[in-house]
Amino acid sequence: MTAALGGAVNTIAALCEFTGGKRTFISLLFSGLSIGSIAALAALGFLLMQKATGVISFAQGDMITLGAYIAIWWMRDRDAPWLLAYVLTLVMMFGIGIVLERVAYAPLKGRSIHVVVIATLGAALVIRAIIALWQDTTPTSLFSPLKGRDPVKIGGAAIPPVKIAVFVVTLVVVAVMIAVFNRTQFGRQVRAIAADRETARMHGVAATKMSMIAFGLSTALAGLAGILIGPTQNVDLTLGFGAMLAGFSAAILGGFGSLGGVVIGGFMIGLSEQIVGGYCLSEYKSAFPYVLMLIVIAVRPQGLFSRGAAHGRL
Amino acid sequence: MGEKPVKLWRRLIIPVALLSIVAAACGDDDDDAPAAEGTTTAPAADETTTTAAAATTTAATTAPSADAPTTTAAPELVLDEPVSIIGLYEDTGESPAAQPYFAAGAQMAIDEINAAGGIGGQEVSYERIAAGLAADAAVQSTLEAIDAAPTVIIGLPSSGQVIAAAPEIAKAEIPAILFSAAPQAFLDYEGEGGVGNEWVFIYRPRNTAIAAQQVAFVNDEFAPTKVALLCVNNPFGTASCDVMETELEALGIEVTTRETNEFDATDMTTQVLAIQNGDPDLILNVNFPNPITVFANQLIENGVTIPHVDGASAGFAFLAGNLTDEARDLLYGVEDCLPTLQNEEWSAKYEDEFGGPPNYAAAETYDAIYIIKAAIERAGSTDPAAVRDALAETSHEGICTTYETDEGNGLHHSAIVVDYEGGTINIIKELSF
Repeated sequence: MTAALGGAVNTIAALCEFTGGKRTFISLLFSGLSIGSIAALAALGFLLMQKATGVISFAQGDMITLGAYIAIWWMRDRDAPWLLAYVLTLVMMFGIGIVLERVAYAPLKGRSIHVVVIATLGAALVIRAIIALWQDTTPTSLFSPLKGRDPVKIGGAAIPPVKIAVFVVTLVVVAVMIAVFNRTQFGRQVRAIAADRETARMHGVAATKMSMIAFGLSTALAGLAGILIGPTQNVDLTLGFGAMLAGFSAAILGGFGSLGGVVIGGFMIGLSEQIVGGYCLSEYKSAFPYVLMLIVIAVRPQGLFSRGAAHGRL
Repeated sequence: MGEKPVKLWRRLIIPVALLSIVAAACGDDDDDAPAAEGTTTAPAADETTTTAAAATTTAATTAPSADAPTTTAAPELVLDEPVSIIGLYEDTGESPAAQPYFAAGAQMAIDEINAAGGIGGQEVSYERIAAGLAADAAVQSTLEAIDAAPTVIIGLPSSGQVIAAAPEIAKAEIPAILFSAAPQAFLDYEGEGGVGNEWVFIYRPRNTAIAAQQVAFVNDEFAPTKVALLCVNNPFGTASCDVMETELEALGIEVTTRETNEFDATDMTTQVLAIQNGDPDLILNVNFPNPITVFANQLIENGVTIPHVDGASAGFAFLAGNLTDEARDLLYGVEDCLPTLQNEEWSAKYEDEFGGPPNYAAAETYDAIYIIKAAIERAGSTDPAAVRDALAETSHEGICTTYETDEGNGLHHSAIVVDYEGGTINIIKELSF
């Protein structure tokens, strides 16, 4: 046992380079939290939709992209102030989610889940094509009042305000979501549908309405992710793809079981990439979250925070 | 109780809508003017890309006249056989990476040539086939072009396309001018997996040659003693950084760090910190637009205010508008052609016709058509072997540069270093190789 532990320590020492001290660690920590926040928001969208409808929508990544482009459109083409543009974007994304539910999910009710998932992929391609025709494929930028501001010094590390904002906004959204799902009628009805759709319908739960709202909320969450991630990089048609993959992995890590679980899964994704990848085999750091996901699937297929068949929890 | 039966129209609405979109997208739009509104697109693949002009530019060089592409030979010629050219590239909307410039540049040249009487009295027949970026799609499009037996094929802007399709072109024995500068596509490539052949000519500068020139430039301009390298993790980044590292070592310049990133990286904290710990005098970066943007901004956030010389994707990073002012002012890029700076007259003509400024792709595709015209005129026929041999003797003054065929069937041997200080593109130095 001791020899095995010693071997593991030696292997880590050989593969990892713990340089840079506290400053490096704090920088990597905040990068991981920022990336994890976006993954958590995407994962929340997956979870919400999956609980209310049983569907995993692979249009979520392109919805993130669409959210960023709509915000750009409001500000650049409609001259809307940034805060109003953000709010209008979220409202529009909620509406788009409802439309998506009507055209890509409702007509396929009763079909195999595989058909519905493929339909969401088709919707993703359509959304991407629409963005390309509407806004062109040229990389562009999304304004943020925090972009370009002096970084905040924490423990010697320079942390961009945008990253801090992403983390804080995500925490607020998660807190609101937890409150909504635990303390409102809507939350209880979604949880009832998640537990047993047919029984919930027999008890008067308006499953169709819940489905539409879930699509709307999930899409608005994607839009929020787009607004948060957009200012940190060039906005192009691929903006949301990586976030969607990270969100899906986070949901798997969390086990599609609980809201808190997928949020923690999201932060595990970000931190494993930035902190583990920052010190060890950094050229492969983008693979670490997915290696972690595969390990979890192998040893605990239901996810880290899921209690097996406890489908009713959120 | 189950769900209500789904009505037939509801089942059909999605496939019908999708089919409508596909049908609309697949229409023959070769004659459409491209939607060029001062925009450029994301790079098509893993090779260098350059940009259209920014809103404000600063001319620094002279250039040939817009109406007078010059070549070494243009004898009076009467052809009996038709002349046809097929372009293998997408137009706006045909894929996320599609851009209008290839189609627009080619169409502009074809229209000019036909308006002036064609080639050897023959009107030039021109067709564009939308070649997808995936290798199998590119091969499919190439085979479709080969079936039409054109005089010359042009196009394929991505390395993956060229590497997959070049052997088919060799088998078909049709001369081709291809747009990717993948090292494997040059005739004199000595590594494994080379696809260069006598029928394929490459009209963009070699990435590895540009890499060597970048090192020479930074040595002359900044005289650094320590340099950090950042290389996108693909053959383009690896090959270019290998050349840079060798050249730097030959000059006695220490390479403090060699970091890599994925082409879709969205956070460069690790790379920035590693480079910062090496304390270099400047950074050489071989990368894609988004990582350049993120990296440049994160350098500033971490207090690293040294120049970083990037490749052609720097222009895209600049045009996207996401660089902070301080990051932008420390950024250098390398372009193989900036028509709005290097040939204002031609650029104005292009803008009149297509409603937006041209970029390298429009200028170089325009040049490619005139290179073909000159080759056919020198060959005195459309015989494939004769046209091929004539292409091998090319010397053509184009929009930005003079094309000369080298021993590897490469045509283009120049580039320009630019910076973006103050929000304008400024030519710093012309490179020839």
